[in-house]
Amino acid sequence: MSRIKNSKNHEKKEGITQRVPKLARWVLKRTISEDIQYSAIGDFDEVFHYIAKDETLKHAKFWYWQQALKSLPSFFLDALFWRFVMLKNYLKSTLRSMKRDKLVTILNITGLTIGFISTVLILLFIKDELSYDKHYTKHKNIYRISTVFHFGNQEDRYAFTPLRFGPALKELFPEIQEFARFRRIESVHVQNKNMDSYETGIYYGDPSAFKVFDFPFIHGGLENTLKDPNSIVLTNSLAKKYFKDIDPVGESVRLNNINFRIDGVIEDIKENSHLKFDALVPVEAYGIIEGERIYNRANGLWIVSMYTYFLMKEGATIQSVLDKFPQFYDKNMKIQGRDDLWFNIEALPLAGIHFQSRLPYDLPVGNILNIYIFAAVAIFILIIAVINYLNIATALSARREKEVGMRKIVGANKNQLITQFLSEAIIISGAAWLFSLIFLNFIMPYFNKLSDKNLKFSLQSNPDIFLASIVIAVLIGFLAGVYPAFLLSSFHPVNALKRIQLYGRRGGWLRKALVVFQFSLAGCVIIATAVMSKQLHYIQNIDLGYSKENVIVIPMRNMTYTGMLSSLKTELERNPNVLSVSAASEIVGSKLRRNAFFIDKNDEITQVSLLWFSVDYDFLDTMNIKIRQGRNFSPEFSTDADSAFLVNETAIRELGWADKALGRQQRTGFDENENPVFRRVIGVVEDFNYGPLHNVIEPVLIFLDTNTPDFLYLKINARNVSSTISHIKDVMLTLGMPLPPNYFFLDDTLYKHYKSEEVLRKLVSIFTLLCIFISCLGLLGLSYFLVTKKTKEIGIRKVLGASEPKIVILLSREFMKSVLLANAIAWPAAFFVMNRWLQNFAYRTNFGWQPFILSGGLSFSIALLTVSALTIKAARSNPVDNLRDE
Amino acid sequence: MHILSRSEEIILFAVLKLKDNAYGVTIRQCVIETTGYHWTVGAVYAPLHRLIKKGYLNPRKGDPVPERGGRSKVFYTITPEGKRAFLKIKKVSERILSHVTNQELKES
Repeated sequence: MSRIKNSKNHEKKEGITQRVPKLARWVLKRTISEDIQYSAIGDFDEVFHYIAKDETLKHAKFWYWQQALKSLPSFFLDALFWRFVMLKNYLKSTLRSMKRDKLVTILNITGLTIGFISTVLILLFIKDELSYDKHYTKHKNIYRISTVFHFGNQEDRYAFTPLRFGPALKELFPEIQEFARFRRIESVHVQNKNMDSYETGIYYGDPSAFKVFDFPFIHGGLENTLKDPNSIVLTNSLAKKYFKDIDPVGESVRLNNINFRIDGVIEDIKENSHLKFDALVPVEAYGIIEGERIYNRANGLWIVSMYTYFLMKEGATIQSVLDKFPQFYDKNMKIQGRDDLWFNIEALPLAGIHFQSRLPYDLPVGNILNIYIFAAVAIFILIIAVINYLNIATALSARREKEVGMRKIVGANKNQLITQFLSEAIIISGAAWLFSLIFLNFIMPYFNKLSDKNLKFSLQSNPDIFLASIVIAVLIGFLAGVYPAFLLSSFHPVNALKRIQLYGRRGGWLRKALVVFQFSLAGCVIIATAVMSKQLHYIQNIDLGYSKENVIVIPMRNMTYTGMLSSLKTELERNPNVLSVSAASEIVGSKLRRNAFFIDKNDEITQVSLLWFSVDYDFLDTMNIKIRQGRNFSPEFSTDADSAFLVNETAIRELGWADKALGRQQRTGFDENENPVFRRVIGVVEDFNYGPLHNVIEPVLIFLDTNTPDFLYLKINARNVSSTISHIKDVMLTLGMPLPPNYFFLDDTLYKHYKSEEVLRKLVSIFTLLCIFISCLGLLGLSYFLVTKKTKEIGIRKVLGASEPKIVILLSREFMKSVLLANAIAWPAAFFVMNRWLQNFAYRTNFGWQPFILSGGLSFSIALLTVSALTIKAARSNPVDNLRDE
Repeated sequence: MHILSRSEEIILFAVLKLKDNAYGVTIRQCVIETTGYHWTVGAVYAPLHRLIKKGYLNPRKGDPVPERGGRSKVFYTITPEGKRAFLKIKKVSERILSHVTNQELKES
């Protein structure tokens, strides 16, 4: 009582009730029955007030919350019970209406199931792409540096950095905690007592890599791992291959016939890492494995050869290292008198490499454009499935009118009806979700094969996507159900029972608009797929300026064969199926080298950055590259090696040599003693595409090298390929140069440049088919509705003499109009988007009319087929059956 | 004639005792003091509501009060039926209690 007596004295402190926790009060309001709500909430507030007075505000709040939470359990139990009772009823009526319209139910569930499957697949794909390298715990502090060469005004970027940068920069800049360098070894001959094989996934790597990245050890992994140049760390799968199940630490393997001690075994590198290797040997083993010649070539400060990663100290930024790099450059690298030549570094955060890196010599990376396209496709498919449900549900709403009327009359209010129809939609979408889970199990392996990934879908492996799929299912059910729910619940009970607004026109325009929208989306996707296919076909069949078919390329980088090229040629050409053998310093179709040259440009000596490579006498003939002016290199002119070179047509055009190219003497480099070397142009070759077709052709210089070009090119007969290859193997083995396993066919490697586009095209084509399929399901549902609605009309028309085709046309006309209109919308939209996509390519096909015709024709004919399936049946029905009303 | 439950009886008593000042908070206070047990705010309402339904109590809104967040107090007054019912209860209780002596309770 004391509290009450005091109450008058506290009136001035009225502000306290403002401090009542709003949320708690809301909870109380929801849980207290309406009869006593008013006085009860007032009482709660008042007691809160007193507690705040007598004790503290904190106590009062605590008390208030206690009261609110205490009221919850019984409230929920109560609500749950009644909800459950009603839900059972809703479920029953849902099942009944499903049974009545089996076709429609199947259409709806199929559409939604396909929608969910595609969404989950695409979500998995996107998640995997976005998760690259984020599993390394320190990834936020790890950066990879890359190189920028400046030649005059030109810049050239590479993913590689010079070999010595890692340790040198770490010593100089205290911000760097650790460095780690990596480089793949083209191919290594690996032997032990169990196996004898070639490996292409072995990398050089620093011991400090284990401090930068998390490479968990299974065996070994002591302090001095990889400190000895003749040591190696294997990944689990490589260890299994060579040592079965025993712990190989301390054992040894032979790499190119040199013993390496195994220091440890680490777990396989995770799939979603941009850097994947099978084994690591120290960078110090570079010279041991590949020979001193290669090592010395790589060791210069201006030669880039290593992927270099820095782990930054906590709080330090990579920017400060980039800012201070010019100091290092000025001190160690600057070449006197060459102010136009300049070297710099850039950095990318580890997790950013997968999407942001667009550098030559980089490891395979992803394309963010694919992610956007996929996300768009997933959303399209879901929208189309939702529209199906929406359309069919509104169209069939008339069938539920009586039920709604009855429910209203026995006392259902609008909210309850909305709940009913919403839960109906959610039940259907839930069923579709269950089906999609089942089917995903079967589809997963095919999807992985198609997308070149190793994805799994289960609650354990991807709880986030699993939950997301549930949320999406509920949300989609809600989205699809909300409009029909409001429509149905708004029926006037009397009208509904008297069937006044029979088969309501309501939503008619909306249905049409939605069908148009659906088919516009489908049309866009068809056009996109058509353009992609056309472009890829164009690129793969474009005249490259050389013949890529039946050419085997053998990398010889790890072999010393100075002076042996000609004998190798004679031996290889003994087999009539080897048509011609030649050699070049680069892989044509991949990338050429770039250097700065002092050269006449428009009759002025300028420094230009130009591409170059060197070839032997037969290369141009082997590759079928044509000479436009002058002559090819020839053994008859002994001076060719030191004083002649070839250029391509673009070079004479861009350098302004068009009128007189042949015989021009140019400084093309320096010899060992830094004396300038001059060469004369002896020929002009026709332009050929030396790189992927994303780029245009630049000027190219071609030199002669008959000693040790890095790649052998063998033109072979298309027949008896395997016997030809075994011949090549034998010849090379007898000459002491075993055929490395990483030889390849030139057209395969060209094809690889467009692999990401090819995967994209395949996936998008499949999802396109799904888009069309789901749209047609919707159309099928609508025509089913139309046909049942017009049974009598059809009957009367037939009695009055209408022919069957006329009736089919009559019934199909509306849909066909919608599909045509949809195409009219889709064409400009798709043109806009795909035109931008084509801009990615320097060589692009013209848009043409085919994609439009394809989209129009395909959607029109499929839609017609779908609709006529039902309309023809209706048109052929016996009018007596339709009209009899007994 | 409805038989009142014990809690209804106690509430009715409190309202009778508080005269013009009987509303949720004061009723609860009074009940706590009478019985010596802790009653939560919520516990008062179920019997209160039943009493109103039976017609023994009349709710009446007072003026808005700042402590209650601008809400009015809802005062309860006892109706003639309520008084009659209470009288009956009183008689029943007295009859029961008069037959039981304190001595008897101690022995058991």
